[in-house]
Amino acid sequence: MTGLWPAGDPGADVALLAVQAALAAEHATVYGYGVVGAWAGDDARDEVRRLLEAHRDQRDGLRRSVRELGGSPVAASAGYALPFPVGDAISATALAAVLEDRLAGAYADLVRAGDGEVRLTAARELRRAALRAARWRGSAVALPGLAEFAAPDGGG
Amino acid sequence: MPCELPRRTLLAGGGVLLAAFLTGCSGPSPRQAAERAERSAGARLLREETEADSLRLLARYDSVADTHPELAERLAPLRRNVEAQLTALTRSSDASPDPGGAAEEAPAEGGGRDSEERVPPEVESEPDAALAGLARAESELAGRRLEAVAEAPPELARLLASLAAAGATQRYLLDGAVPEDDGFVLDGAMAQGEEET
Repeated sequence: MTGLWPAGDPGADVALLAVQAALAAEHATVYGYGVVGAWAGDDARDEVRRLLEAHRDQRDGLRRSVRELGGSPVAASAGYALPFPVGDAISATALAAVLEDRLAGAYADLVRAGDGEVRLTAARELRRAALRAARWRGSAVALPGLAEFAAPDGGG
Repeated sequence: MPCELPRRTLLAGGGVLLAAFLTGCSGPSPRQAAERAERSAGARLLREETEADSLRLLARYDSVADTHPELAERLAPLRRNVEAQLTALTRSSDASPDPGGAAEEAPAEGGGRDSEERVPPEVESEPDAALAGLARAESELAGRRLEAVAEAPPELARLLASLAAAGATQRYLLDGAVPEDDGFVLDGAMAQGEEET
């Protein structure tokens, strides 16, 4: 089976590291959406489930890509520290936006590290993460995925 | 890897080979090569075009808000983002100056370089049409920037990919539509393939 991320030069350590980082970010996102789903409320439940599925697929594709690049995929952590306490629909929605922000960062780095199809696929995933973050937040950031340009007042 | 030329190239012309040898393989580390790529003439041109596009987009936001003051509040955060993007682009240009002539740079505030961009774009007389026009402009620009990602050096590619993502997002906030192949990303979003044209 071909991975979502076409294999590149097996010697490309930088690209492999960046794919691993994206995989780690998807692991964290899958975990985080579980928390989001528990608190997001009935209105958002279907969408959270759909997005959770999408992120699982994405994670599986990245695993395959790591193997194609000759690496062994990083595993999920046993647990993740949430950036802030989540206990209602508002904080759950805010968490979903932060998850997508961080994912956008991993994909932006993969754009830099990869070339060819890997780079373009990463650019498209960056766009998707930015769109989902905007959906949860109701607003857009100036430069998705580029933490060095993030506004100092994150507004959490 | 840049040093490995196919055998046919080796036989084709000694001059080309020598030139490749001098420019690509005479010792710079991959990091130095990457930094040089960020400063190449092509990358510089791409940065300048990207900046000019952002200036035009900013002017369009201003024209729409001037013509339709009732939209100004809604457009303000989106306009601020375009402004922040311009600042980032300028910073990125400063970080990768032309190796030859840094002197010719440094245009004064409001200087001649962008006077051409200062002609206010025409704005539709209906507010809804003006918003749709802005959405189209964001989407079209985002599509072009995504395409440019392929050929850009790594740092610039990362910036362009972020700008492309930002443009698609601004467009989504303007008219609720997302790029055609992202239709599944959001519930209830209209997938439109505007940018593919």
